[in-house]
Amino acid sequence: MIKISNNTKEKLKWQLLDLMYIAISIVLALVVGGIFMAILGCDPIEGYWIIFSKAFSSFGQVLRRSTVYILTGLAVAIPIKTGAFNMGGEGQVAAGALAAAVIGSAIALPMGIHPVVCMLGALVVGGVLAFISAFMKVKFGSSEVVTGIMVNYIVMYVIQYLSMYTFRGSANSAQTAEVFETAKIARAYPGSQWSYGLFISIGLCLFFAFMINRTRLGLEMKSAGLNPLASRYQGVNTKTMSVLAMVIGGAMAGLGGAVEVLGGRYLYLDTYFASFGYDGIAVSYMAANNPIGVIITAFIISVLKVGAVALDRQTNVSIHYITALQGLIITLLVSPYLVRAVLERLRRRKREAELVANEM
Amino acid sequence: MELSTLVSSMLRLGVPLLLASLGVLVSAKSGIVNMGMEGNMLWSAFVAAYVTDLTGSPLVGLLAAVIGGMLYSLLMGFFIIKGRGNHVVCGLGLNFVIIGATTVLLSVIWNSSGYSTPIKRLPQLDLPWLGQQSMNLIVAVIAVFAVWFLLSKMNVGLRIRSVGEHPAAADSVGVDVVKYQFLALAIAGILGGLGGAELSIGQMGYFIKQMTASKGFLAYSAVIFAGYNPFIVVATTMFLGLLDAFQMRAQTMFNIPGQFLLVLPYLVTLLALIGVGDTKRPKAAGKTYVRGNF
Amino acid sequence: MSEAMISIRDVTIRFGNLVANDRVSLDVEKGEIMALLGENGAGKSTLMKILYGLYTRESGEIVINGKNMPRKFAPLDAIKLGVSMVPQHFMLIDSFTVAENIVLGEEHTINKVIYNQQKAIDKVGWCCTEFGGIQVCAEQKVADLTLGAKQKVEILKALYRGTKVLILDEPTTVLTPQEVDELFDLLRSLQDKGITIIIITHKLHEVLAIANRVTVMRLGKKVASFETVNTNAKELSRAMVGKDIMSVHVEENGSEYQELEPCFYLKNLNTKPQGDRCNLKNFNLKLYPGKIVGVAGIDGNGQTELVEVLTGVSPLASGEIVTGGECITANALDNMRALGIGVIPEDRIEQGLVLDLSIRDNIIIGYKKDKRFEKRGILDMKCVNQYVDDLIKKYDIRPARRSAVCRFVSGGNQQKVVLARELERTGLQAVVASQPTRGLDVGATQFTHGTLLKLRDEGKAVLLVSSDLDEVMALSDFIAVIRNGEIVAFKKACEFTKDEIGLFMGGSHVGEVIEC
Repeated sequence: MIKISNNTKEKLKWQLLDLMYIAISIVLALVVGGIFMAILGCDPIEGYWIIFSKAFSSFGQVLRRSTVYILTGLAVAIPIKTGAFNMGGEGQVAAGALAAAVIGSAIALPMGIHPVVCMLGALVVGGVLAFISAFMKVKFGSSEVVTGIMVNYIVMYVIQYLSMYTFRGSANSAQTAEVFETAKIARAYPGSQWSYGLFISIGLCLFFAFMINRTRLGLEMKSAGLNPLASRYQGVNTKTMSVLAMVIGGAMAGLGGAVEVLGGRYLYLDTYFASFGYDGIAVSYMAANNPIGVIITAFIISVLKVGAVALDRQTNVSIHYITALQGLIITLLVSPYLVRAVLERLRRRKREAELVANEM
Repeated sequence: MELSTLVSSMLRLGVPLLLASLGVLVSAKSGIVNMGMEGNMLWSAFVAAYVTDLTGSPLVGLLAAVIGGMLYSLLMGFFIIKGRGNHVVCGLGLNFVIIGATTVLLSVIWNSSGYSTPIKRLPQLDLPWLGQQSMNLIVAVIAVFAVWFLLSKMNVGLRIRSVGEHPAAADSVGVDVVKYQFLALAIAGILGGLGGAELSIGQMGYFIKQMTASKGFLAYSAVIFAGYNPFIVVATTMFLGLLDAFQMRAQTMFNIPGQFLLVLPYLVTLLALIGVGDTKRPKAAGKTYVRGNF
Repeated sequence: MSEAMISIRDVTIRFGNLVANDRVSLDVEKGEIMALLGENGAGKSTLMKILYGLYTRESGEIVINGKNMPRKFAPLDAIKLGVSMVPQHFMLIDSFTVAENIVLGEEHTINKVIYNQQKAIDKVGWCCTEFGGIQVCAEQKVADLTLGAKQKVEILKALYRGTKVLILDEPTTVLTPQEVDELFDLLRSLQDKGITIIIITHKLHEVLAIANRVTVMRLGKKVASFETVNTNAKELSRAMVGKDIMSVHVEENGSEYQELEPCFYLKNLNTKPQGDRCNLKNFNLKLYPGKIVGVAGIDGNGQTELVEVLTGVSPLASGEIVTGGECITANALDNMRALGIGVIPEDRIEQGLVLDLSIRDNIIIGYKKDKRFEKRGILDMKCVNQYVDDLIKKYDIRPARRSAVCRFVSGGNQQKVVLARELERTGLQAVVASQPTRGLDVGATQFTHGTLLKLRDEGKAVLLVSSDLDEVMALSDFIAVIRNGEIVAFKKACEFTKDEIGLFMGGSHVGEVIEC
């Protein structure tokens, strides 16, 4: 018999409850989504079956997407710890991707170093973009959601211009030239869809999980997000914490773009990276903003996204269905009281029944 | 660039934004941060287009859009008030739901991934000097005064504001916090509905994929700059409309690449958010009120 | 034979596992002043909130003015029957005018649909004269009023609604002794007009001063009921606590402050005004090792600023802190820590703890860059766990689990976590305790007082900032009165009378009519 201490039992109970709410939200969203499918004339069971079977037949694709989603999930999860909302993921991913593509195709560097430099460039670019929103939040009190969206649009247009003109590498479309061989991240095995980038992503999750739970910096970040006033009383610089967390988040998003460029597409193509940033929001919330959980939820979202391509092709439900599904999931996830209210009512009814039974 | 054509464009582009901003303002006054206005507008734009297409009457479409917008806003309220959800995330989540759903519906109904088929527009007015304007221009002007009157002169407005400033105080004198927040959201839904309908059947004559292009968020900024004052909101939204109008002409007039001009409204909003704190915000905005017992 | 205005029978309510009211029964007769006495956590506030409709009772009956109340009802229902409550934390909207605050919820008395400010102001004015004794300016924004004036607005809210039963929840915590007298005069005049009054309080002498009858509650139960003329303080305190309250014993130490060597000299401190908070203006105070200096004053006269300056959170605009030969002008937090100043903040929930973190995290967060626990930023969990476990044992914190989340820990134990963190710092020289026993029951209060006295005996300097004048007078060696951001009086505690302190607290504004 394994002896579980009371400490751990208590912790597990709370975590199990949290997982239950997440599972209920996802199931509820799938059901509502299924109803929507039915209204459009598509059999929901068939629809979901198409999604899942395609996903598992294209498992390499799923892993490749997960590589990016893990990072864009971290891009939201880490700032949330300090109470900041990184809405700029879209722009950060695209900018990071472009930076990696440009450094990878315009400069010649030796084999081991090239991808690292490309990724560093992406980290810097993503971090700087997030810094804009973070700075405006701590200095002027501006909502980082609004500034994040504004920066997204600005970045998207600027990058569109850059990929059309300045860094154009192809005659037919707005894309850069292909990166040099030296810059590429190796595929897992010849012919596979996914690359070693996946290990980089997972490694970063583990790193941040450690940082948040085992270092002073992580403790201060958590504290700043949960109670900024009390944190200040203990010497935590809450403003620095939120800026730092946002910059890390932005860097992660930028890295997400870079990993896809260096390990997958090998160039930057305009609009290819759309939605990776926003998807990160769903990835993060579904994981309760937990860095390790992000690995699992990134996988789940990838399954849905890859499978939706088949859904789009075989039925009249387009891939945008997944966007709607994600939106419903995150809305349900942050409104737990709907489920709690039902549970409370059940509990009270049980207690009243007990009181009545006792009096009999 | 003739002044009258510039002003004419400004009005056309600013009116939907004005209506949406008024919706955000009313929500905020009751303590709800309405990040879901984007979805509100897009959904109403869709409903307006679809119903007009079905019935052939844009006025029926407008009515449907208003009802649709109100229902959307009440749904958002359900998650935020009853579900005690985070205002921002619920709004964003529902935005995504609408963006996804309307794009799917676009392909199912009109068999297209970008534009719907041409749709009959709302009655237009031919005004001297201002050119052709949608009837919603008049609706918008009425809306501004209506919102001002509601909030500052009516008992209901006093109650809505009290709920946004100090819901516990309002509750303690018997003001039903939940009722007035839902009421404010219903009004916001109607206003957003008018704004969205204006986009599809008031101006474009089409439903276009994601046609709101984050006007919902620009509306939110416009309200902040305006210090939550309905009359100043007119100025801020018209200014954004003017920027849009300018940007469209400048593309052909000066040889600037399109992207740098398209960036303008967002860049200006971003720059303007510097130095503008959210000081006039109702005290309890964004917080969920729960009475006593748990 | 007067009939009961309010009849409460066997009312019970539970919060989770805690039975806050356990089959409580009580009658309040028409036109009497009833005091509901009990220590913090006895359940008196909860009971009245049930009466007012803010909480829903689980079982029992409530009859208001002859009407049987259903189990679930809202404040609106209670108001309609003439029950009003003046809460402890005022429910006023700062950005609204006095008139708007009073009329909110009753707008139909002004106009059906449209709100008319002038008409509201006139009606409020009429209400004032009708009841006499209350003077407010109806046009003023509530944000500009003093606490005493805000309380008057709350009472006026009730009177405006034609209240027949007025409940006051701990009405005197924010008043000077003079303002308390004013309030009691007002209550007596309302009683003459036939209004029934219920006062919730934990202050014995006030009960004896104003009430006709007193009901004592303890741990959720009603334990006794007395006519005030027939009882005394000792009997009441025994009923309240179940045993004689040990009065805090302060040494009568003869030394005058001029003879002592201060360990901290707060010299001419000035801070920048932040919003409508009172800032420090030429603030001077000395702290002495082995002595408790109590700072008495009405809330909002700079106490918060003072504590924040000593915590290091609020920067000094000018002035210096002189200690051990050094003059410090930059009071960054790290500096204050290095000086050995520990701070027990006023609001342990908002300022003292991060509720959603564990006991361990809440303790260790206060030890920034402490080499015992941290190597290059990485926490040594073994050392941390050992340290926290030791503290849990020393301060008898329950539950005795370092991973327990502070949100689910009782108020008294939450305070212990804060104490453990602040008082165990190495090199502790001075302790700033701000409202340290607010909201705590007698057991926890005694523990806290005992801790402060022990610190004093160990030679630490203690600065006690409290709006509870009794606490300040009981514990302090020296008393300073703060008003408008500066110290206006400083004397040995035994040389101060309560009235004298009250006069200094209120300055020259005692009994003044607020002019428009």
